[in-house]
Amino acid sequence: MKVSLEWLDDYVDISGLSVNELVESLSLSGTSVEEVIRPWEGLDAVFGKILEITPHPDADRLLVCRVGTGENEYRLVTGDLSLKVGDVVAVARPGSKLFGGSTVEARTIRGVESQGTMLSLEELGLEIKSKGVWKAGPSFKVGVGVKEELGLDDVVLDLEITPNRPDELSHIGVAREISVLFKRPLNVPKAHVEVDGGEFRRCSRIVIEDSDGCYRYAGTIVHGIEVYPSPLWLRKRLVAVGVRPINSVVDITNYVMLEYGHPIHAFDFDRIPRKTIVVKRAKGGERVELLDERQYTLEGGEVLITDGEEILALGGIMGAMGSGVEERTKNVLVEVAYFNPVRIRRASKSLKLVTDASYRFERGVDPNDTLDVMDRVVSLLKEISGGSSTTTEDVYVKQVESKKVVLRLDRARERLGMEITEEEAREILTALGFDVAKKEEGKLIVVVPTFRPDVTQECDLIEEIGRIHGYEDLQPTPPKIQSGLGGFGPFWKFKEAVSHILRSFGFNEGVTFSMVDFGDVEIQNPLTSEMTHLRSTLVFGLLQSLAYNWRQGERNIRLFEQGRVFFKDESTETGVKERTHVCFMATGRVAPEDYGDKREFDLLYLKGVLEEILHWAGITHEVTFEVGDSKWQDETKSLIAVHNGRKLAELGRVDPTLVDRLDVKDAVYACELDLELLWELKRGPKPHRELPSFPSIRRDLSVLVKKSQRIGDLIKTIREIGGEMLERVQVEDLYEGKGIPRDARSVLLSLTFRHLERTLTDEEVNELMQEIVKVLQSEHSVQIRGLS
Amino acid sequence: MEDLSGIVDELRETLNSCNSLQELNEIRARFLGKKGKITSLMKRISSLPPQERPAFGKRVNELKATAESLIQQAQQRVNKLEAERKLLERAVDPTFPGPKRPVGSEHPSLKVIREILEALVSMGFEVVEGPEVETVYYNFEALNTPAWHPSRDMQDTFYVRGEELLLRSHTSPVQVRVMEKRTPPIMVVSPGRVYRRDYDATHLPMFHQIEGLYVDRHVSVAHLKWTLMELASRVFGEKKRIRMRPSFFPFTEPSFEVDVWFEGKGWFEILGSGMVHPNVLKNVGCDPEEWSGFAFGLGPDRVAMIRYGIGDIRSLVRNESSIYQVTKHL
Repeated sequence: MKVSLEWLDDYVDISGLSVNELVESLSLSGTSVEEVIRPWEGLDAVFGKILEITPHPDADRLLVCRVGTGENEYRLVTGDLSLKVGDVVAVARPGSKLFGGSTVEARTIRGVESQGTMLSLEELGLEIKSKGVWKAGPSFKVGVGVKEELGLDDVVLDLEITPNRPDELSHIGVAREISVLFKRPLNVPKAHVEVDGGEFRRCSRIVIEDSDGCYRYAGTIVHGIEVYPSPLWLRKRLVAVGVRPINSVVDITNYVMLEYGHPIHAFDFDRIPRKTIVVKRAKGGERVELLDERQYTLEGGEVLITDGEEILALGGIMGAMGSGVEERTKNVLVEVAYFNPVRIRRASKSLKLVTDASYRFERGVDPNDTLDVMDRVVSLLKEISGGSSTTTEDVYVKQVESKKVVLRLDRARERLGMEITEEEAREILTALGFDVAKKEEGKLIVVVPTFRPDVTQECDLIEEIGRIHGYEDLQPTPPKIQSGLGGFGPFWKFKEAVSHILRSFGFNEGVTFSMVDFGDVEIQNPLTSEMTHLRSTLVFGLLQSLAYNWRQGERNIRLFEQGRVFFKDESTETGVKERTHVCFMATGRVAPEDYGDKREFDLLYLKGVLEEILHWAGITHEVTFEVGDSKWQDETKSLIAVHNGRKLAELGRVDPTLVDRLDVKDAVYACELDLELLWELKRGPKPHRELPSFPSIRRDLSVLVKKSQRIGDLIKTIREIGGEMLERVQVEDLYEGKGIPRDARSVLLSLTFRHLERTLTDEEVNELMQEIVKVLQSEHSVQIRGLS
Repeated sequence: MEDLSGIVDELRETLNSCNSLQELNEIRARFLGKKGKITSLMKRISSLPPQERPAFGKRVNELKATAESLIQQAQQRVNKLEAERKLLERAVDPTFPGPKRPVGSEHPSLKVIREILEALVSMGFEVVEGPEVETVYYNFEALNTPAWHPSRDMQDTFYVRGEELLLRSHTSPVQVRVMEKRTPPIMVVSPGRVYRRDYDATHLPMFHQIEGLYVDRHVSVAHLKWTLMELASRVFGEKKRIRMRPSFFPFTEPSFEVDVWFEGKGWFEILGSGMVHPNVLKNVGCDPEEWSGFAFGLGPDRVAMIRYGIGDIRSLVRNESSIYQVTKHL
């Protein structure tokens, strides 16, 4: 909502207040100022009189005028051949800015220097399309500044009006706020209309059939008007707040809407075939062409203004083609109505049509200012366009009453945490337009004006008092909290710990959209074709990020993301199951900044990271790994981690064709882990046990294993034989290649033995080792290469 | 009589150009070894006439002594050189960069979330989470935002099923879920992802929010102000100035936008807040005559952008390497 300060000054004296003071006070009381606009900033023009006109020596269609502005004379070249000596014109000097921001320059036109320009109304923003130079006429004094004379030094505030304050979608509403904030009186002039056109009912009638959609409908007919361009003062005000001037009738309805916040519609009475207004509820399927020259098919439930048969307007939204005011219009029917906000909003939503009128009606205009608004429109119409007016027919079928709300001063003080006296509360509320009566000690009965539909209960009144009183001086007070309320919660901490482990492996923490282009759960109104579903895996979002980094030239990328994935599941409250997963993904070197480690990522490295997490969660030995299959994995290089038949994680090389499609030319490995399942399976700290105090004995066992043989089986066997005394089995080295058969790998295992209650002897360990070697050879046909 | 001084000169010269232990050993062998020049002079003594022997022998012995002493001196010099050389071979270049295995960095928004939660938890708040796919009841209706009310326009929403199921447009539904389950006093904070149909240079269709809620007896705006000031100071640094601008949210009354002052940059709108609307309390079965509370919501992505100088909000979801440079440090 844009408001002009010059316009506001009609209702509240703002003299002596700086723009900054106004902006600050409005902002700190709930009316946010988005921008301060000076539409005619830099305009440097004065009125001058044409003293002499000579033909341009070098061009037939140009004139050279000598223009006097009292103190100075200017030589000005113009293409407007209709100018006469003695015409008063607006002369803009070089360097002057015009409406819209362009600058006047001294130009030499066909050899003659023009020392500025004679302005058209279009260049001043006061006309949509000008035919020539503005002949201002003798009422403007030569030598006077154009800006001052036309009020073009205006300052406009662009306000962000919150949806609860429809009253502030008007100059009077904003003026009321200023009057309260600066304790200056509010003057709303009341228009007086002389009925000189007879009874409304003699020429027309109004019927409200849809009383749910339209509570009140008032009409007045003004006969014998002339549709003109509006006077400059009116056009200037409209232009300042961003509304295009069209013609006197349309401009006046817009003007009064911007003044009162109450939308008005004017029909060409002669274009209403049945001379009647019937307000109906749309059945649905009707087709109508509105003033925006577009065809609409109605959904049903819209409020229709008809003449009984034909649709004249979509009530509260826009007029229909065919009944609108034109230049030749002679008789108008002025509508001031009140429509049900919900019905207007539904219609506006379903037709995807938002107008200044619908915007106000759906937020709620004041049904009880109808007659004031009507008088204001009719009096302006008669003043500007002439004509005689009928009585006003006012059909008010559903009375909107003022609400009464009780305010407890104690409650206000407690909620706001500030000292508010009864006097101050009264003062603020009264200034805001509320009627205040005292009920009993400490209680006020407040009658809420109908222009404030947002105020319905005590807390709303408390807010009014608080925002006008201001919060700058409010003394902050720490809450009285009970100890033991706070904390992160166990699952949060669990997730954080997993993030920590992954960061310690060098993975950067990522965030990607939860919306992707495939998944289990569809979004009905997606924003783009890439975000049509909720993700059911984290892999693809992260892959996009990895690819983005690759395209930026990065070759060693490690990313992880923790977040939810979504599945359909009718057993849940919403039918959608959310599950927190973590995915880590990498390409390139394992440790790019470690010049001593040239390894590239591979499946086993990723598995090592996962095993570290499983180890931390205390479930390493309960999880088995199997060759996996899933659509993002390269099936020869992928695994799934399973716990008791439940899939805990998937890991592997991301399908190369998928990776290639994103222009990534290296292998990408990823692992996705179901964090919630891990949370469910995790083992807490082991029961208290003494830390080992006896020394351990270590043995290294080098074996040659067929590639068809699973190392895990060997380790399992070793563990079984080693029993309690075998503390740890670990792969120390892995070798494939030269000197080793192609179908085998050489593995060095290190075994650590320890007894918790005594020192182990070499003999005991040797015995175990012999047994291990024997079983490995006989049952697993492993070739032993060395034992030490 | 032969002139033996030539040998000394030769020896001196050779030693002068000798720089290594190996060379020195060779020189020693050449002069004093079994077939060395001086040794062969000695051998010649027996072939001389007896009367010449003592004199020649004396001179050769003197020559030998001189040679030995010269070699001895050279030995010391070479030893020192060898020691220096050895030291150099083993030397560490103190300017040589060490191999690194850097830990991964936090995402800027999540780092901000962690800091804010850290602050709030220490002030007594408990971290709770809620679903991202929400019912229209929890996202709007329970929060005093009825259907067909213009305030729904404030949050353009993604729908998942009919007009019933949606992607939460704010973290406020978690308030409702918590209040339904517990009785006051309640002091919770809920971080998470939220969704709105808005995608341009300053908006993402998915972003983060943190929602704080405190419900107790006699809670006032003054308590809210203290909490927000404390939070701003802990997150942005000592004694941050804040400004509460009255505003409108359907689920709080009074409502405030809160700006934080950044020196040299001006006021930045950081969060929305207010006193929990009595209708919301009623909706969860909490008597507004007995209980009152405040709630606030803030956008950590915006805070991260201000703090880390991130200009394009899309950087936050591209996870480009540059954003991790800024969160690497303390």
